[in-house]
Amino acid sequence: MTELVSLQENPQNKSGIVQIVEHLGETFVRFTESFGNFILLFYQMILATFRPPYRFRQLLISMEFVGWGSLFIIILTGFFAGAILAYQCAYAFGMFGAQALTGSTVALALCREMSPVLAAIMVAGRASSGMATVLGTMRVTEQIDAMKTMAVDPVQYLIVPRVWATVIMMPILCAVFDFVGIVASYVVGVGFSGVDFGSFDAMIDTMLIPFDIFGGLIKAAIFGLIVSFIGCYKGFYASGGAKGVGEATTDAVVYASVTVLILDYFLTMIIW
Amino acid sequence: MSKFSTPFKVGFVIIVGIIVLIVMIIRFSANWGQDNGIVELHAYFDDATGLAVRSKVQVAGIQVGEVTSIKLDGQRALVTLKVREDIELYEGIKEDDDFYRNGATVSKKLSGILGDYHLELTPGIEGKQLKSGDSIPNVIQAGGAEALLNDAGKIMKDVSVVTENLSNVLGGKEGEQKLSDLLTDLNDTMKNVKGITEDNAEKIAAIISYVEVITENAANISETGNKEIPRLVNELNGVLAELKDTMRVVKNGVGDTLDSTQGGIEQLRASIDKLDQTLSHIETIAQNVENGEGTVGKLLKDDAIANEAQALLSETRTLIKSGTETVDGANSLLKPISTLDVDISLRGDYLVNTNAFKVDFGVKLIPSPDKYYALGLVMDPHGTTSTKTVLTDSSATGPVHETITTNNDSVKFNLQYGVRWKWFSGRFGIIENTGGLGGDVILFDDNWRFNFDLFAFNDNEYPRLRGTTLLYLSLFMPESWTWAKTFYISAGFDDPINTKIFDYFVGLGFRFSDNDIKSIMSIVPKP
Repeated sequence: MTELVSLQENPQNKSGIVQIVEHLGETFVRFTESFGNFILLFYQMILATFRPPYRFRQLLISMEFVGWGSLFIIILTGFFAGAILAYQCAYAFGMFGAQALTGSTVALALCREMSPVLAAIMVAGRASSGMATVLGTMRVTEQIDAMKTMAVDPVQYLIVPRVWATVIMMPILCAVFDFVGIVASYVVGVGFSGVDFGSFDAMIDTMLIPFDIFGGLIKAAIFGLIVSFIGCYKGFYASGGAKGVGEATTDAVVYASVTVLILDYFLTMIIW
Repeated sequence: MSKFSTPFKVGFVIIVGIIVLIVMIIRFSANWGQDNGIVELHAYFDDATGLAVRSKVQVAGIQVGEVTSIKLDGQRALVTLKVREDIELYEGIKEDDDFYRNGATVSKKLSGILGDYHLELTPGIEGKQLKSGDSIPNVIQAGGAEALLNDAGKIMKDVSVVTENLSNVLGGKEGEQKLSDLLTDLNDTMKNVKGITEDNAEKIAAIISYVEVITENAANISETGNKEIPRLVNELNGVLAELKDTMRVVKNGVGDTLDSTQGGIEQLRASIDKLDQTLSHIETIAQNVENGEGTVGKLLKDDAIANEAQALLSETRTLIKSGTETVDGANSLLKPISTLDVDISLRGDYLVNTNAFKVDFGVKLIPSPDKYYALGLVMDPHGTTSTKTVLTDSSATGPVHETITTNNDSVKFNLQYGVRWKWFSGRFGIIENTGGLGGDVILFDDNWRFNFDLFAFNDNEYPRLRGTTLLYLSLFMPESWTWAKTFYISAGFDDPINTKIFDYFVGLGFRFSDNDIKSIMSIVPKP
């Protein structure tokens, strides 16, 4: 931060254009710096993963926080996502008499895209924000510095278990999302929209292959890594008291959600 | 603190996830695990429009595989498809025009109106079986809507040629002129006809009056005929009366002869009646036997007797075994009995239509060369058919007569008495639990037999006829090979009249004469 201060020495002597250029330069430098911090922290996290001591207790607690804590919300969102998708598909396909495709369309959409993305956004909203809050509070109350003083690596103790717990739990939550969503599409499609069960089932059978499901799970794992790491990063580098912690939390959720949506496009291109 | 520990909660989530994943893969994805038995084949298409990787491959509308890749190979599309291994595909037989007759054929078919295609495969029936990496010999290039549109295009071209010709002939000023000329000509013709009839009106009237005169004459002629006909009829009557007299005389002369013929017919009728009675008696006996009544019935149905008989047999066997040592001495004692010849035969037939085996076990007792008693057991897959009418009382519709036909897979009995003259033998008795008749033609020194049985007179509309031919191997072997006399092959047909159970069969059998049995007995070791 000391270099940044030295860049803006005499603000009153400068013309408007120079100020604008300086502002641009400052923004770029700040972005590069935070991106560098992000990459460095990620590198440290990877290193700390393989370095003993291994903190399984912390991993277990984080897994409980991410998995068990998000299970209900995942089931709830999964059910309604599947239900509304089925309702709209049955309506749209019904216009040209292809209602039988409802089940397979919903199943494919869920397994390939909807489940990983929606589950990741749910986890971002619930777990990433929580991580950012916890780590941010620890940072502003100087607990992280205290940890360093006691020769405990804060990255290893705080970030590693949270990130890997999310990477492990995300595919499981995604599978639950898939299943609940397909069940909901069955309830709505067959139960309310009157799609024939035989063709509903048969079309899912013919159009869905195991790799559709596995591809979605791989995506979910990658999303889990990104989402939790963004939460930890934002909390780890929080500053400025309670306000800073609040900003860090908001940033964590926004960045995580946006990153998931952007990354989803590229992952889809790579996987399929 | 919640009542669940952290490890429990984590474990619970993981278990739920794994279960859900397994259920989804098994339940929602039919393609799972089908890769372990596939044949990969190639097919060249001129046009692969609408086909995609994972397009269905169907046989008779049922999916048996999918397209795995589509590549450009020179000018044509090389489509690779995988098909389940249990679908057997054949290459067919190559004909002159690059067509493989009765070989596997693949064609592109439209699946729905949205323009997606699948491949329809016909496996073929001839030639060598196709393996992984082979090409499907016959590829039908165009199919579905596209071909239809092509055909329609050709037809439209033809139609347009026709309409063009028509418009050339009738269209334009020239055509109009032609049409109006045609109508003028027609008008003129009609005018001419009218003129002719007007000019000749008198002549036509004369013709009509002539016709009138002619019909009047004809009426007169038939009137005179009316008087003549009764006279003719009278004369004919006289002739008939004379003929009657003549016939009477002839009848008196022939009468005696006719009477005797009538007597003959009556005798014949009586004989048939007797035969009928005999048959019905036999029928009753058979029925009783089946129901286990009477001595024979008990003998055949009662297990206790069978057990006793078995015990007796085993006793007899030990007796015989112990007696073998003194056979030489006893030979003179056996002489009166040894005139009784015994034939034991066992035959298995494969019934082609029924796809089942029938086993026939027989014992033939031959007291003298010109007569014999044949006993037998038949294990017939057709079983016995019994029909009974039952009065069922159902409250809604009242009592109803129901005919119940039951078919039991069971053992049947033969018991026949036969007489033999040279190459022919006739027999009657119980054949397969019912009364029946039989005849055998025996040729080539007993080596080739034709047996005919007629039985089961009441089971179906017509009696059951069965023809069997038995060919002993000794017919083809040197005479010194006595073992060949034991084995025979059989073939025949069963019940061609009642098509319901019509069958034909082939089989193998063997026959022991009492000489064989004696020699076997003598070498059986003492217990």
